[in-house]
Amino acid sequence: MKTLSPKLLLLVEQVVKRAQSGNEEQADDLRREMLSHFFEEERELLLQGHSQKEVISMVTQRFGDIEEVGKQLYMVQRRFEHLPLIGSLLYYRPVLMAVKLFFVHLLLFFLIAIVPIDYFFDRFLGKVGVWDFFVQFQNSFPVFILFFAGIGEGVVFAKGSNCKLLIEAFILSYVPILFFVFFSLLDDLFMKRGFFDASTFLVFLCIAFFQGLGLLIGLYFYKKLREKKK
Amino acid sequence: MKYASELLKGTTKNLILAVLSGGELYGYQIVKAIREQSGEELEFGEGSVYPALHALERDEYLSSHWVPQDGSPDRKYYTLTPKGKLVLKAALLEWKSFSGAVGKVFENVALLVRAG
Repeated sequence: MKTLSPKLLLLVEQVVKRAQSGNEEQADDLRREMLSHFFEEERELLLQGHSQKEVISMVTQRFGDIEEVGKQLYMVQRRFEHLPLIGSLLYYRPVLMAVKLFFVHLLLFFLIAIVPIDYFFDRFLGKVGVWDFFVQFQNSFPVFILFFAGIGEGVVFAKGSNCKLLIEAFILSYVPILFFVFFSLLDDLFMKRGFFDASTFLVFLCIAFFQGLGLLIGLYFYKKLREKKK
Repeated sequence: MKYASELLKGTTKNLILAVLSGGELYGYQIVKAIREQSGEELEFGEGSVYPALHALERDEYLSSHWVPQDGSPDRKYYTLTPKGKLVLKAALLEWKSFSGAVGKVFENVALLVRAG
């Protein structure tokens, strides 16, 4: 099959990148459609006797503002066409994903907080005589949960995303917590009301680390599974 | 002729629906059909057709399918759905009434300009 000139291939990728839906299936679909468009136009103009250089210039000019087209495609794919302000805010796709992840984190913290784990250990395992070990386990229980939840997130969120995007979104999802830590630190330095708790900060770091590790493992398994399917 | 981009922006979706009323077409054919059927009068960024196409497909006014090609990239063909045909009918009526009303105003202005 005759292929497009490298400059037009680059144009295709620029459109796909700007549309950056983050969904690989949508991106593939758009890439195929753009390839078809530029291929047809290039072939037609070459047949009309234009030089390759002229063709590239004409195709680029006729296509119009890539930035604008990409943004409009993103809005359509993300269904924010009727909410241009929110759409523009979430144009940077990792932000949208980070918001989703943040709410997943909140839900997980809430679930961990309401699980009557103390009662479980006191009622059943306290009598077995291996208490010390289970006290340690109990302390690290949230970390275990978040580690496995991270694996789940990796698998669920990896569907239709790419690794870079997911990792970026994951880091961004912890921004609200970092803000909280930052302001409580400021409060501690200037107001001295004692909001800042270094151990809480360390716990968050630990949680983020294990959850992130889980996410990477989940992502790895998802990619492997996808490759196998292909 | 170069029309104000705002004028074209509002009509791109209707133009697409209109050219597809003749049967299924793929992206580049749609661009060409609009250009040819307007007597080369409408010049617009070809890229702007794709967001409009995807929005029409999302709203179920169009359906699409891929057709593999020998020796060239596959083509994505778009077809009007029954819902799309209804929207096109409504758009045509609206356009007739709108252009008629605008025409009347402009005719009056033209008379005044000639008289003045």
